[in-house]
This record gives sequence, C-alpha cells and structure tokens, in this order.
Amino acid sequence: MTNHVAEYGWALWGIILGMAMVTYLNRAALFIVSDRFQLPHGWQRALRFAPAAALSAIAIPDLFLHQGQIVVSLDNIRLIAGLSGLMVAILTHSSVLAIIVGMAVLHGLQRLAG
Amino acid sequence: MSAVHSRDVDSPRGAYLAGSVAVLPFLAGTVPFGIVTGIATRAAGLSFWESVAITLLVFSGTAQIAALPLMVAGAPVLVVVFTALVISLRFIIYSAAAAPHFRNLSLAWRLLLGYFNTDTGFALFMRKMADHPDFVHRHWYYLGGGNMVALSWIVATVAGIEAGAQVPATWRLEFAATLGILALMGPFVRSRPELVAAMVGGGVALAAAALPLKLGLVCGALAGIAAGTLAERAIAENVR
Repeated sequence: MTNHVAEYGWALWGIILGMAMVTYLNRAALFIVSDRFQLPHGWQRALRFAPAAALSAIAIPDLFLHQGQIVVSLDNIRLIAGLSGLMVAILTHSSVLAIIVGMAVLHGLQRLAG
Repeated sequence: MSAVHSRDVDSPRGAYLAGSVAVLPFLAGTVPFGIVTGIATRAAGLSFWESVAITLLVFSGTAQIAALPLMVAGAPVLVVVFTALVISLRFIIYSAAAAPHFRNLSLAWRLLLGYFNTDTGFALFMRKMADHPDFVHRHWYYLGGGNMVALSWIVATVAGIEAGAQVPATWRLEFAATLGILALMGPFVRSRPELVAAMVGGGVALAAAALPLKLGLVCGALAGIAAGTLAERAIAENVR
C-alpha cells in the first residue's frame, strides 16, 4: 500500500488542528453550557452508537478490501491477521496484546506466502 | 472508605492529590497504549513534531489511531476531521453526566476541565460522585486525575514516537493502527444494538468504499448510528 501522508504538505497541520478543535469541542461543550443547558435524553441515547459505528466503518473496509476489491479468502492476510487480533481483544480485553498477536500473524502469513 | 475520603479531600490540594492517586491503577492501560499509538503515528510517516503536536492537541488515542489509516490513504482533510468528530461524540455523553456537577464553576474552570474529559477520568469521577454526592472540591479531584492521565499519555506517546522512528517500513507497523481500532471497539460493542451499529457501520462503509473522498466512511458512520438507534427501539418494543 502506498503511503500518501507526505502529499499533504502543510494541509497535515489542517488535519491536526481540525481534529484538535472537534475533539476539544466535543469534550468541553456541555461543561461550557452546563449552567443553562442539558442534553435531551434521545440525543444521548443515539450518540452512544457513534464510536461503534465509526470505528467499524474504518476498520472493516481496511480488512476486506485489497486494491479496491472485496477479498474474502485465506489469501487476504490482513483479514486473517485482523480477525486474530479481534479474537485476542475479545478474549483478553488487552488492546496491546491484540496488536502484538495481530502483527505476529500478519508477518507469519506474509513469510509463508512469500 | 468514607473516613479516608473526608481526611483526604477537605482541601483543594488534598482533593487534587486524591484524584491523582486514584487514577494510578488505570494508567496500566494508558501507558502501553500510548507507546503503541506513538509508534504507529511515526510509522505512518508523520514527522517528530507533527506526531508530538497531534498527541498533545488531539489527546485522544482512539481518534489518533483512527485517523492514521485515513491519512496513509490520503483521505481529504475534512473527512479525517469528520471522523475524529464522530469518534469523539462519545465525550458528549460522558460530559452530559458529569456536567451538572460543574454547573457552579467559573467559565475558566469549565474550559480547563473540558480538556481533561477522558474515558478514564469520567469513569473515576462518576464513581466518586456516586459515593460522595456532596464532594465540595470535586473539580480539584477531577483535575488531579485528568492531569495524571494527560501526563502519562504524553510521556508514553513521545517515547513511542522516538521508538517508531527506528522501525523499518518492512515491519508494516501502519497495520497496527487498524488492529488498534478493532481492539478499541470492545468497550463500545457490549449490547445488541451496539453490535448492530458496528455491523451496519462497517457493512455500509465497505459497500460504499468506491465513493470518492472516502465518503463511504461518512455514510457508514451515520448509517450505523441510525441502525443502532432503530435496533434499540425495536428491541424495547418487542420486550413490551
């Protein structure tokens, strides 16, 4: 996979400052207005689903897509490594261990294939 | 327990120290994850100062880790920022529960405490307030815990950023960010509606992956939130 980070140039600082601004506003907004406003209950319930939906929307295409095509087979080593990591995360609740095992599987399969 | 509480926290300083100490066990998770985040950030191709800036200013491992594969793929600036926005929406929930406790503070205090609103800090604070609803120096307690989390996060990520520069590209450490996202999903996928949100979010993003500007991700996130909300309503109606 080609790395496009260098192509951003100064726009990378736009990403950093933009991310900083939206995360801070999400954190602080209700503290700032807490003397005159409380979030309606229905909104609170809907917002609970945001992390699951967004994280999955990043990770799933990353695992299944290979050069723009959906690949579900043993040849897709990212998919297998990702599922291994996910299993470890579910079983051990340790994200660090999940990353270590997932990377080990990725490298093991890469070596087998190569 | 309450004897310890009253001795510890009847001064701002005591409350600050009590908050700093109470958070220590939670740092066992923060420190290794900070190191991994730092390594992955550097391995994704950000320079030293860009990596330090993102960890200091954004100060959210989940948002930082989620942004890395998008940046490697060259996603538009606004799509990366939008993703960070959706992922940090959960802080609105945390602050909705914590905010009433800070209603009487000055605006400067509320702006300051906003920065230290973290997953860990929230869990710790709400537990304390449940045991001691009349806790006067609560903001000092919250600040103590928050400062400790921030300090350990920054030290750990900078250590990772230093280490990440030594790692050769053939290790494919950029994939560590994707693994990190999968691992981070755990706490957010505990109920059936949350599982629906994750599956619909991922499925729609995959189906719409051919859309330009990484808009498939945006569609997936919004569809997942809607699906989770509908699933929760459907389950509640079935129970009734």
